[in-house]
Amino acid sequence: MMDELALAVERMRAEGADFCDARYQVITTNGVAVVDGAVRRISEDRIRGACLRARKRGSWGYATTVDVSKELLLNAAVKAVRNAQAGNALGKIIPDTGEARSDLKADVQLHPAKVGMEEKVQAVLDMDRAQKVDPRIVNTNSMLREEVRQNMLVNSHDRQLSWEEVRSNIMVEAVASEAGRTEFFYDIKGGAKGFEVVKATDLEAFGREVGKEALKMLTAEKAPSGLLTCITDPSISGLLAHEVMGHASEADEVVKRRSFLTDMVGKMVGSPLITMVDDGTVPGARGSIPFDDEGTPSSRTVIIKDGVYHGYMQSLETAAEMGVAPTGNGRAQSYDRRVWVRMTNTFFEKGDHKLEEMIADVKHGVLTDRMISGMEDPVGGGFEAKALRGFLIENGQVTKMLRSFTLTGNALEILRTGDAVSDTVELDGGTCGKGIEDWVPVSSGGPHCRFKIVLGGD
Amino acid sequence: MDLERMSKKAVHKVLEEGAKEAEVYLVRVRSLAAYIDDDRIKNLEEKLDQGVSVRVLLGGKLGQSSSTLHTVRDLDECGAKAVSLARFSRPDPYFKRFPGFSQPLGNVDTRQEDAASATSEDLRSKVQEIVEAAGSEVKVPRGLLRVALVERALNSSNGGAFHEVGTMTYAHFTSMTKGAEPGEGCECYYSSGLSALDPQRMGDGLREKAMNAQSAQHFKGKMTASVILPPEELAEMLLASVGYALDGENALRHRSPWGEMVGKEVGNGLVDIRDRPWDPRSALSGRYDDEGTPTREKPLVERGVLKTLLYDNYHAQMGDVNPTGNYLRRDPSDSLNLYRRGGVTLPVNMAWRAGNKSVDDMVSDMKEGVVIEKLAAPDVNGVTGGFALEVRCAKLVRDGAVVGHVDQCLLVGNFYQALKKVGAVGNDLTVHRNCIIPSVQFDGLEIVGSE
Repeated sequence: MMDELALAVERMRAEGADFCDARYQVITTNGVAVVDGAVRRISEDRIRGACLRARKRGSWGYATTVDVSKELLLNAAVKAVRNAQAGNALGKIIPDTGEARSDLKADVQLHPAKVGMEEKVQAVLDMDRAQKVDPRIVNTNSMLREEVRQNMLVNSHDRQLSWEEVRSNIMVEAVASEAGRTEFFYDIKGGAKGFEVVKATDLEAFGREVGKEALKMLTAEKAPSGLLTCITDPSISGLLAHEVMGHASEADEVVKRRSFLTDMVGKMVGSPLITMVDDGTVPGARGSIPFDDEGTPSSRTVIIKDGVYHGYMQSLETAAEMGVAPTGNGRAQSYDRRVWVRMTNTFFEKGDHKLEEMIADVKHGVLTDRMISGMEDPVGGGFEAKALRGFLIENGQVTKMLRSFTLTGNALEILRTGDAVSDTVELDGGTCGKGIEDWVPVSSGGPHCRFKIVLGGD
Repeated sequence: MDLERMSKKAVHKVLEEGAKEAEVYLVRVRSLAAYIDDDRIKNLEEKLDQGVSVRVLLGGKLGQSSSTLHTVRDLDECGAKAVSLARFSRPDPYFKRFPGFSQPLGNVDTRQEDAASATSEDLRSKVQEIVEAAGSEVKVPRGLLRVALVERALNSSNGGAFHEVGTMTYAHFTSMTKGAEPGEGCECYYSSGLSALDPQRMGDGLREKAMNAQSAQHFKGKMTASVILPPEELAEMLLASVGYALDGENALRHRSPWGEMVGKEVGNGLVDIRDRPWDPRSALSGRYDDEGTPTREKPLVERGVLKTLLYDNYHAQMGDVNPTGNYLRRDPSDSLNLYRRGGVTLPVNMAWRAGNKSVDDMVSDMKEGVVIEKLAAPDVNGVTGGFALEVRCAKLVRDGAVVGHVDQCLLVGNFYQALKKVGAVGNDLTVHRNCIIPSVQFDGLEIVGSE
C-alpha cells in the first residue's frame, strides 16, 4: 500500500501541489454492551480508506475513497489538487519536514487481538451484574470498547510512516430510582492500552461501587448558585484546561485571531500556581500518539508556565505561518475527515497542597465530583462545565452531596483566583470535537484546584 | 454496484453461514464540502463512501458487524464476522425477528435535485455569497457548507426491504466582530436541499448576532423570569429531553420520566408536538426508518397530553408492542460512515405546532425576561430534566422592550417542569437537525450571574 500512496503523492506533485500527503487507514472497533444483565450488542466495525490531501498556496483540497485500487487513488489525487487550486486562501509554504521512515506497533501489554471474545463478554457481564446492589437500581449498563488503528502516511517531503494505535475502555453506568426520583452514576477506565485495562480491574468492585454511588445520588440536594469557592476535581480541572485554555491554544485559532489567547505569550494569564501542558507522549494516556495525522512525532507543549502564557499547539500549516516548529497536533478523526490542530493529553501540572488542607480552608464552597460535559469558547474565553455531582463544604467540612450543576465564568478570571493546587494529577479519557464534529481521542485532567467560580444547578 | 441486488445476495450468503435471521443495510454516499477560513475558501472536499452493516440472529443470539465496502469479498467477510460474533453472545430474551415487509404509509421525495447535482463550484459560490452578505463589520473565521447524495438499501430474511435515495444539506458558519474583545455569532442550516439557503439572510444573521454578542454586558445577580428560546437552541434541548423521554427503550428500562405517562399531562395546552416523517424539508424524512419499518405521522404530545412512546424493532418485541418507524442511523449534518453507526430511537422529525405570534409580539407582551440568542451547549439531563446552561448572548427584556444584551450567566431549570409553563409559541417555524419548531417562551426559569 505504501507504494500506491507514494505514487499518489507523485501524481499530486505533478499536478501542481505545493505540498501533499496520502493517508491510508484501517480502524477496527470491537464492542460488547450489556444492559440489565443481557448481552445487547456484540459487534465489530471496520472502516478502511485513503485520503489524498493537496495544498496550493493556503488552500487544501481533499479527496477520499474507500476503493484503493491504483486507478482510483490516482483519480482522487487529481481531484485533490483541483480542489486545492479552486481555493483562494493565503498561506506560507510548509518547510521541508525531512525524510523519515518508521514502522511502529502499539506499545500495549495485551493486544485486543490476542484475547478471546468469550473472555471479553464474560468480563462485561461480570461488571454489569455487580451493579445490582439494591432493588432501587432499576437499570445497569456496561461496555467494553476496543479500537485498533493502522495508519500509513506518505508525504511530498519523503516521509513514509506506518504506525498502530490501540485504545481500550470499560464503562459502567447504573440508574437508581425511588419515589419518582431517578439519578445515575458512571465510571470509566481505559486509555491507549490493550486488554490489560480489564485484567488490572477488580470488575466486581468496579460495578458495585457505581451501583452504590447511584443510590447515594438519590439523596443529593440542589447546589447553591452564584459565585462560590470551588475545588475542582481532576475531571473538571481538565475541562477548564481542555475546553477553554486548550482549544484557544490551538494555533489555527490564533493565526486567524479567533482565540482570546492571541498575542498572550509572555503575559500573566493565571495564578503562579498554574502550569498547563499538552503532552502526546504520556504512556498509556488515551490521547497519546506516536505521530499526528501529518506524520509529525507527538511532543510535550508547555502552554502555561507558573501562570505565564507560554505557547501554542501547531500543525504543519500553522507552524509555517508562525515560523515555529510543528508540535505533532495535526489530527483527524479518520481518513475521511479534515486535519485540524487538535489536542492530545491536556492537563494542569500538580502543585503541593493536600486535598484535605484545601477543603479545611473553605468556609462555604463546593467540591466537584466527575464531569458530564464541557464546551469550548476560544473567542470569548468563557468556561462551561457540567459536573455530575459535588459536595457542599461548610466550615472546612464536607457536609452534603449535591446533584448535577454547571460551572461558568471567564476562564482568565477563574485562573487568576487559583489559590491552591493539589499534589496528584489524574487524567480522564474522552473524545473531543472541534465545533460539533471531527472527534478525536484525547484525555484531559489535572490536580484538584481551588478557584472562585459561578455555579448553578436545578 | 446495485445496492438492492447486493443486499438480497448478502442476506442469502449470511444465512448460508448459519444465521437463522439476517438483516443487511447498505449505504453509498457522495459528499461535497466547502470550508471557509477567515473569509476565504480554505478546503474543498469530495468524498466517496460506501459500506454495509449486517445484523444476525443465530441460536437466539445476536451479532453484528459493519465495514466499508470495496469488493464483494468485504461484504462476505462482514457477514461471516457477524455470524462468528453471534456465537459468543448469549441467547437474547426478547428478539425473535427483523421487521418484515410493509407497504409505505406515506410518501416523500427527499432527493432534491439542487443538492444531488451540486458541484464543488456551486458550493464555492454559495459560501462566498454568505461571506459577502455578512458585510465588512464582521469576518467569517469558520464556515462549512456540505451536500450529500445518500443511497440506502435494506433487505432482511423476514422479507423486510427498502431502497431510498435522498439528499442532505448542512451549513454551519460563525462570525466575529473585528477589533478587541470580539463578539461571536453563529448560523446553521439543515435541509434536504440547497434552495432554501438564503445567503443574504444568513449573512445578516451572522452580522447581527456577532454585534449583539460584542455589546453584551455580564449579567449580575439572579432573576426568575420568562425566557424565549429560539428554534436552534430549543431543538437541541428538545432532542436531549423529550427525545430521551419518548424512547421506548428508556421507558422499558425505567429511566424515562415519561415511562408511565401515556395519556397523561406532560405539558400545558401549548405543547403540541408531532412526528412528521414525510416533511420534504428535512434530510431525515423517508418512507421507512433505517431498519425497514414504515414511518408514519403521529401525535407525540397533543395539547400537553402524551400520546405515545417510540419503539424500534428490538424494544417493540421487548415491550410487546409494534415498532413505530423511528429507528435512525442517519444524521442531518453528516452522512459518512452511516453503516458504522448504531441506531437511535427518535422522532424522524419532531414538529412543534406553530403559534400565531412573532418573536417581537412575544417580547412586547413580556414584563421581564430574556430572549436567548446563543447558549454554549444547549444540553439537558434526559433522566432528570435538569439543565444549567451558559448564556453566551441574550437580549434582556423589560416592560415589553429589549433594553440590552447580556452574557456570562446561567440559564437554570428543569425541562420537564418547564413544559408545564409554556407561555407562548412563536410563528417562526425553522428546521434545525430533525426538528421543525418555532421559538417558544418558557415562564419561571432562573438566570444566575455572578454576585
